[in-house]
Amino acid sequence: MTQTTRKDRTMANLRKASCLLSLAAVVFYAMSAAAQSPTDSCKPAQVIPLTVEQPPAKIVIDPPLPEPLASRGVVIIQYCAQNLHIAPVFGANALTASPRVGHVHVSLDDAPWVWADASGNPIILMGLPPGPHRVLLELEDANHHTLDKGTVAFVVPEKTATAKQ
Amino acid sequence: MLRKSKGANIIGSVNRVEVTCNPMRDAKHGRTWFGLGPATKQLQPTSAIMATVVLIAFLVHALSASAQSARDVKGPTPLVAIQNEAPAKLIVDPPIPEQLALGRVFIQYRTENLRILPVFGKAALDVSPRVGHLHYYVDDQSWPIVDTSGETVVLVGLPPGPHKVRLELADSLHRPIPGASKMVEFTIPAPKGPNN
Repeated sequence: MTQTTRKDRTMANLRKASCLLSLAAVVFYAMSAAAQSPTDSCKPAQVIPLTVEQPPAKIVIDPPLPEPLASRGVVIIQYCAQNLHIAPVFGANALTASPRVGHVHVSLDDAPWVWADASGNPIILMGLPPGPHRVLLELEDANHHTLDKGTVAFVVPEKTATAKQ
Repeated sequence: MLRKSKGANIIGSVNRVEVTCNPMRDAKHGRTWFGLGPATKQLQPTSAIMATVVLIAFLVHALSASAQSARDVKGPTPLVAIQNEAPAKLIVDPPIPEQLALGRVFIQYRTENLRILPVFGKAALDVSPRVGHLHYYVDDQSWPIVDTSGETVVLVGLPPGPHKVRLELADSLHRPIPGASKMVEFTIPAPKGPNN
């Protein structure tokens, strides 16, 4: 009899503890989510052919890394492609590859021309004139057709830009 | 007449040589058999000379085989440091003409004594074999586009007319490497139709 009540009490304590724990977990999650940058929750692309239909491709872009921008005027833009594997694979024949392959087109300050990047590495721009700028990132399929896009706006500080040529 | 019979004699033995050297003929380097041509003109059809021809053929074969080794094509392995590595070199092709005619600029390049990689910072300066990356400037752009992929440079949508792209190799601190800069000049043709 006493054994059962002790067991019950222990169970109740455990339940209480787990309740508190889950509350703490929720709070912690909310806090860490607030501190996250967009690419943190982006899953890297798979490379093995998929057996199910792939959701549409999306690009997730972080604002430029604050420290290099403030101290050296260097713009480092990290991005992540969802449901698209960034690779230097091109042409109409590559359109049906699974998982989807593609690359990004980058343009600065609404220029009519773009450069292509199939590395998946962060976009790095240095020596930009001080002042506000915009970088447009377009997620392209293997045949240069835009699937998604995003823009990042930022300001290159006056002092560092002149000091760093 | 004499020449003809000499030729006939040699052909007899050449057949043998050809069999031995087939792999060399298959080589995709378009190499001609320079060893055999002059030899057939001057030499007498004796067995000693035939042996010389075979020897030359073997030598040429060996040479061409070694020219296709992995290291010769791909460069040194990144796993072993290189003492006193030669200066970095940048080799740039003009834009691919067929693509340029369509208004797309595809510039192929390669490097020697520098591997294009997304590795940055002061510590990476001492890495051996050397690492670095590509900077390129379109027209009179004051700022470089930084490329760490090693892939063909692609520029799409440039307005018709003359343009230039300057490519340079940079170290891991983004400092241009002296002597490793190339300028490419080209003209984007006026669009022929309404669609690009």
